[in-house]
Amino acid sequence: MAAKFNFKRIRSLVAIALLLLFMVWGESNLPRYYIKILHFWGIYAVLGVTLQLIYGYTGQFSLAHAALVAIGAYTTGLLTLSPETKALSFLLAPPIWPINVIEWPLLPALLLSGFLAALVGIVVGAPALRLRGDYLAIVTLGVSEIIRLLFCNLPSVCNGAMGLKGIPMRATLWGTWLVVVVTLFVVRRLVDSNYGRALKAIREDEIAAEALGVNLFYHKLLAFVVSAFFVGVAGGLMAQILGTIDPSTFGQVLSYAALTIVILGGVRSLTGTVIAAGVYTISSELLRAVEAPITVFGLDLPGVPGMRVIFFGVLLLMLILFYRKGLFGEHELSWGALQSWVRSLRSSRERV
Amino acid sequence: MSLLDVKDLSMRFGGLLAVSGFELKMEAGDLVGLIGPNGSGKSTVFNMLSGFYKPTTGSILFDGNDITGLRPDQIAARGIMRIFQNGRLFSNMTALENVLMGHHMRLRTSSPFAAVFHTPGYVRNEQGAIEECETMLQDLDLGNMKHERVGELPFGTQRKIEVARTLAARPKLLLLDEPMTGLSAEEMSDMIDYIIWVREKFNMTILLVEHTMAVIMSICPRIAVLDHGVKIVEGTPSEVQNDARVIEAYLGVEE
Repeated sequence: MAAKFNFKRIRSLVAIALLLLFMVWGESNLPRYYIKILHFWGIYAVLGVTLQLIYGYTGQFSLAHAALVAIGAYTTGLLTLSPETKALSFLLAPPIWPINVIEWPLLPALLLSGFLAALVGIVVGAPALRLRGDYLAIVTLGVSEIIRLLFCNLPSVCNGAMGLKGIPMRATLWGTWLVVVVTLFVVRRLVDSNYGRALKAIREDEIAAEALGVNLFYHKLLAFVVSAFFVGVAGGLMAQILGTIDPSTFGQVLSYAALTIVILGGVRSLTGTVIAAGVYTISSELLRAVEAPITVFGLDLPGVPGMRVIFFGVLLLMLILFYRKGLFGEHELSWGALQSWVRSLRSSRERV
Repeated sequence: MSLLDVKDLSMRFGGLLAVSGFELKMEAGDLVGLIGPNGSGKSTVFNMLSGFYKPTTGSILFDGNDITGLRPDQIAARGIMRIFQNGRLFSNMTALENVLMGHHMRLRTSSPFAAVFHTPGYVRNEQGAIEECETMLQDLDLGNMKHERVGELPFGTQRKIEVARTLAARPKLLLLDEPMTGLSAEEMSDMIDYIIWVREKFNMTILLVEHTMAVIMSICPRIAVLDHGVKIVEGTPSEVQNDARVIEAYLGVEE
């Protein structure tokens, strides 16, 4: 039993190593466009997996992801920009201390992004998580918008609506995917532990959970804060990949993207979420076509930015109405599942 | 000193006085039945004892501490566990996971970090909890069903798992809110045997609310009767059965 367990563990470690090696290889051999898609796949995977923790496992419907990504992105952006660049690009008001002098390497900047997002998670979560269901969604949506507007209106902190330009793009593909692996690891372990059972119990029946001694507030906040940390890190990576960010980068679309990915992947399937993040990222690239200007029967139609979002809105609606299980349901993509899948393929071929 | 000492407990919802001046003393190892017609306030008493309602007046002393007005999880942490009238299992979780939830408070000694990094202490606790909960399911002859979703198990089995779940927390006082509701005759006698077994094995103190009069009369040495939020009688089954006020409460007075 123990030997088999170790064998499984080694197999998973090898798979992770191969994944990261592929990313290292891709960094120097794939076209830049593909590299960017892989980066965004990773970032959306983190957003999806963290929303699974809050929504899939704990049953709390939060729409705060966009704001938390913004916190992370701005933190990393401001920390990694050189003081000179900041002095040049802050046209509305000079940057305040300590923003005007600070310059950090990427790793500590990402960590601080995570911690700040987690802190915001505590500040927002502490009052909001006392609400249930739709009310929590409304409050987190509102807070998300407030935070975005704060970024718009604080010129001396984050250059207001002009945003940040020239952020050094130091994120590497393997680094982004290492963040995905770490997020998956932490969420998986947490969900399988006594804490995770309590989260699932809260989702199933808050009253029964409380009667068994579960501190509802503490556990909801725990899920929220752990998520917020990784969302912040993902936000930091996003700043590094885009190079240019402004408040409109972090519209509500991001929160809905995370939600679409969770439902598409299958609520409570973490591997399904990672796959769904890929489907979302790639299809959102393919759908750029619908935003381009087109000519139909001699009629010139101008390109409408945002058409893709409508498509995803319809997709989300369809999923909820007709395909609530998503791609994976509650199942995980595991070695056992792969084996039985291969076996079923083989047996069906033999039958033919 | 009594294990449970309830003094002058009242609960008012707006203009309705649901329970008034309720008093109850229980010693360790007692089995007390609480009966009364529908709407007499039994569930309100249970909800106050387990912290879901904050009493308007009165005090609840448990194990020498005042627990009046604490949150449900704080009261659970002090050793009062309850089951609910219509059953509140986590139906999408397995039987084992449900019973492990009873173990929740005892596992809280490990931090979330310990849980993520699988520290030796955490692994030991978790392993111990799983073994203990598996034994509890085996005591119920449910060992082979431990990985089944409880929502798919027969109702009688579900009710027993709910009791087992509370036992995993090693409570000092067990509040059973109508554990026989919806059970077949066979399941009912099974449940009675189980309650008696639990009481003997763990020397458990139990407060039992039940509608099935035969059950209450046969297993409870002491019975309290509620009517319109007031405790009208407390005594042995035969005292209660022959009390004019009880008969009046249940059957009404002859015109």
